This record gives sequence, C-alpha cells and structure tokens, in this order.
Amino acid sequence: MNIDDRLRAASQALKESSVAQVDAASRLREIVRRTGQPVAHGRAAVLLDEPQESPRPLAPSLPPAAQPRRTPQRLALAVNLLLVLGLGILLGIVATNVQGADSTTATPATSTAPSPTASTIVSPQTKVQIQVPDACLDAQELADEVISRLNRNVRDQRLFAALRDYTIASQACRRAASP
Amino acid sequence: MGQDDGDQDERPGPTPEPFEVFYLREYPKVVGLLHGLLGSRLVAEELAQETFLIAYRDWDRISRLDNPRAWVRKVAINQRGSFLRAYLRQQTRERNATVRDQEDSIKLADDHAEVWQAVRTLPPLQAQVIALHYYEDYSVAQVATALGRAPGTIKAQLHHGRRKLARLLGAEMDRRSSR
Repeated sequence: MNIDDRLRAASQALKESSVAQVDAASRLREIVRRTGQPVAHGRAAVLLDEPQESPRPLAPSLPPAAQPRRTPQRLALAVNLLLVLGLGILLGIVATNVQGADSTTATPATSTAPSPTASTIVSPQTKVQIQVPDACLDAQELADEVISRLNRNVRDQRLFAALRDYTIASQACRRAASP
Repeated sequence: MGQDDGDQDERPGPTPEPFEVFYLREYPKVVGLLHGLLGSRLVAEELAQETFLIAYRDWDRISRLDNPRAWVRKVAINQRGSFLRAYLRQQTRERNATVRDQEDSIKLADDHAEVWQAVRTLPPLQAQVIALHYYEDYSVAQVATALGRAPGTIKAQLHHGRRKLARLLGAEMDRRSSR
C-alpha cells in the first residue's frame, strides 16, 4: 500500500471513529449553558449583536491575570515592612536594656577607681556578652518565616500558625526585655 | 477531490442552516481533524468547542457565509496560536511518553493510529496541509485559502510531508499522487 492510500484510509477511519465516538449533543448543551442563549434556528433566530463575553483563549494572556495579583502583593509588602520595623524596634529595646544592665553592673567596679574617666574605660580583656532572651530569638525566626511565606504568597495553615507563634513570642520577648 | 469547493457550499437550499444541525454534523468531524493533528481527544474537543462557540455567537453572519464548514476548520487550526501551542506540546509529550493515554484518544486500528502518530511528528504547517488534504479532501487551492499561504507553498509542503511520512512508515511513495 502506498503512502497516499494509507493516508486516505487513516483519514477515513478517523472520520468514522470521531463521528461514532464523539458526543456532540452534550457539548452542544454546554455551548447553550455557557452563552445563556437558546440554540439558533436558521435565519429567524436573533443572536446578540455583541458577544456576551469575548472568546476565551485556551491560554489566557498574562497582563489580565497579573493585574488582580498586584493588590495582595502590595499588601504583603506593607505587612513585611511593618514586621521588619517592629522587629528592629524590639531588638533595639533589647539591646538598650542589656547595655543598661551592663553599665549598672559595671558601675560598682569602676567606682573603686577614683579616676573620673574610669566609667568609660573598659578593660581590653573584658568581653561584653549581650544576652538576648530566647523568646526574642524565637520571635525573630518566626518573623523571618512569616515574611518568607508572605513573599511566596503561601497563605495557608502554616502561615497562620507561624503568625500566631510570632505574636506569642514577641509578647514574651517584650516581657523578658522590659526591666 | 474537493467535496468542499472553496466558495461553493454543500448546504441544501438558500436558507441558512440552523446552528444545531450544523453543529451536530460538523463538530465530531472537526474534533477528528484536530485529534489527528494533536493526538489528544481532550485538547481537540476543547479547541473545537471554542471554535463552535465563536461561530455560535456570530451565527447569524457566519451561517450566511459561502462556506461555514470551511470557516470553522480555518478558525479551528488558526485559533490565536492555541493550536500551535497544543501541537508543539503534543509533539514533546509523544516523544517522552512510554505509554499512551487510552482515555484521551479516539480509538483507531493500530495501522491508522500509526499513520496519524507519524503525521504529528511533522512540522506544524506540513501536518496541517496533510490533514486538510487527506482528512478534509481539500484541494491544494482550498488548503492554501484555509491556511492563508500560496498554492505553491502548499504543494511543496504536501510533497515534503508525503515523502517524510513514506520514510517514517516505510510505505512506498506514489509518484502519481504528487500534485
């Protein structure tokens, strides 16, 4: 059999099979349902001049799909900035308190020295260890997690849990950091 | 060849055909044409449905065209690039697939399925030319009109397509069939 005959035979077989296997009636009902118009019967049938909706391409173009995402992205950015700001303030408070605590503990040691500049002199061997409460470290980690999830737009149960834990940890941090 | 003569129409009588009648007769055939080219029944039905939806919305005008049957085929294979994307996707899928999805295909005898599978390996334009010429019985001039190409281009594509298919299928090339 030559290629011409094979193509003709395959075409004929496909035509017959598609007529036998494709259910046109149910798809016709779908057209009616999608357009909300009754099926037109010939010349007398009046179809709408303007289509109710423009024909939907199989793959929607990017700009219309991208537009509605803009507002949530802005919101996520604002929340992120607030979180970072809050965390910065929190760490600032903690650092100030720790420094304050250090200077109060350092005063008796320096008071033994009569020099007026003694309070500002720190021995080169002395290392200042800033102790950050665990709750604050937790809060920081949780804030990072929340920011990361918001940036990836992953808004599920895990985000809710991280946000809840962050709130609890930041409150604990504030309690631990306050004198 | 050429049951669908470009400007002539096979519609009986001067009054436009009701959409319902046109749809029930033509939809399975258009699905068959697209299935031959795309290999996926679901994608073929989706593209065909989109095409008929466009026709339905403007049926008052399209039903008065000289050849609504040719119009739906032209739209089906030129639909906003959807066809081309689906065709290229399918080519990749067929190259990578080890098992064919039986649910997603119109059932054909192995011999015929093999022919269409070979057609799908051709470049898009060649595959379209082969499908319209053999499946739709279009003449070279009709294929040229449907695809918006010069008849000479179509003739060349038909020749190259047949030669490639003959090589792929190991069939004998019939020189007489080259038109």
